[in-house]
Amino acid sequence: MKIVFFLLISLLPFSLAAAETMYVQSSQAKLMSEPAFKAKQLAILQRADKVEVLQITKRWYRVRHQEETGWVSKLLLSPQPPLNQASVFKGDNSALQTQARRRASSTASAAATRGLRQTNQQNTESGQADFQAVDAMESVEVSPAEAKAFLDERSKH
Amino acid sequence: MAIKNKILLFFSRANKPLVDYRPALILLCFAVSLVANGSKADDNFRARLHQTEHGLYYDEDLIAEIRFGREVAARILGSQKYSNDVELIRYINLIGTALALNAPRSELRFHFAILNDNAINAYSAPGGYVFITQGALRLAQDEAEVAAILAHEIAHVSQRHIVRELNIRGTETSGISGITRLLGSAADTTRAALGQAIDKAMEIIFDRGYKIDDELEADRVATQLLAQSGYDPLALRRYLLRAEKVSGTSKKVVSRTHPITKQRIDELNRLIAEEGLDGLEYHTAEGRLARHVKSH
Repeated sequence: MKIVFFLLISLLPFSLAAAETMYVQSSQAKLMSEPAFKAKQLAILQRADKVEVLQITKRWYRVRHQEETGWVSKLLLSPQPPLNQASVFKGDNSALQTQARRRASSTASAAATRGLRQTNQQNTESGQADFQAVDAMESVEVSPAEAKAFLDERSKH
Repeated sequence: MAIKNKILLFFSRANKPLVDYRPALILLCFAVSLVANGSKADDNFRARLHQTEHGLYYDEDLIAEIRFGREVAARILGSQKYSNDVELIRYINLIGTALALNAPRSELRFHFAILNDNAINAYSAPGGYVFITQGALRLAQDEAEVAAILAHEIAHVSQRHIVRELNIRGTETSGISGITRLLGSAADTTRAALGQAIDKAMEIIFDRGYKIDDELEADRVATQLLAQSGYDPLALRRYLLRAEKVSGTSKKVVSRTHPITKQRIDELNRLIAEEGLDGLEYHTAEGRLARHVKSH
């Protein structure tokens, strides 16, 4: 009996080490009951949620999140937490809201805080660049709530 | 000699062990466990190594990607006529943003524009700049197909196809990396180096096309993205088959920058079969597309 106990104790650390921690990379990720899109949706994980990987298939991870266990698409998980959202639009030279995993590089840091704004029209050697049009493109804002409502409305159409 | 005796005793059933074998048993257990878990550890190592090669990116790299992508987007909009139809642009941005919620790179904000071009095509620049032509919009029969086109371009961005091919990095490592330094410099030489990098990106987008493997990956990711977002995951395959039947210059353009349709369809068929995506009920929102696009 003692031997069995010793065996179990000796194997325990390795069993624990086998589980890998991953993080949700998307804004949201569906936790499914089976490794299939047609399976029942158990929950919706949020960006940067931490999960423990229990099993791996070709396109899915079986994970534990808090008290729930289910399957998440491999595309949406990574061993590293997601990068912080960058803000490099006009008038905002702060470049990053936070610097959670900044790599030491004084050159890059200095460059990153420089202004991004180019003149509206630039003639380059290979053609014209229209930054005014890029500004207009960036000015169209759709909030996540609007996007979700837009998806929900599909059933009416 | 002592060790040999211990081994003999350990495996001897006839004789009672002369020494306590329990420590040896525990050690053996550790060894077996190490071997058993070795493959897992090795897989993890490979995964992290892969991620280092293709996916381990830092904040500076993200800034570099967006700034570089912005330059490429400016060049695209400087060379193409684009739509100013506010309602249609907002509609496309709603579809694209909804897809991006389920895409792997939540650190990016995606932007969508419409090019006044009759060719059936769509393009994307690093950092989240996506373009779809009027010709591509007109060929779509429902909203899921428009979503499929945008999802394919989102996938090129999310999988960093141009970023990886051109080694766009925030710090100097090799090649044309250190883009933030190039963008911040007023020196002619560094601006010329940046111009060359943008030229290469434009060549990939408009002329040479992506690597075939990247195109096929974008198709797979797009189809999964459609399914994640509740759009018909068969929409991309359906659209490609229809585009294949279109004759004239519009088809030539899409064929030049994309691998042959048969190969793409075969890959999609494989994915659809493996994931059981056929025959499921998903949204197509045909009526909503008709209201926004057909009337324009």
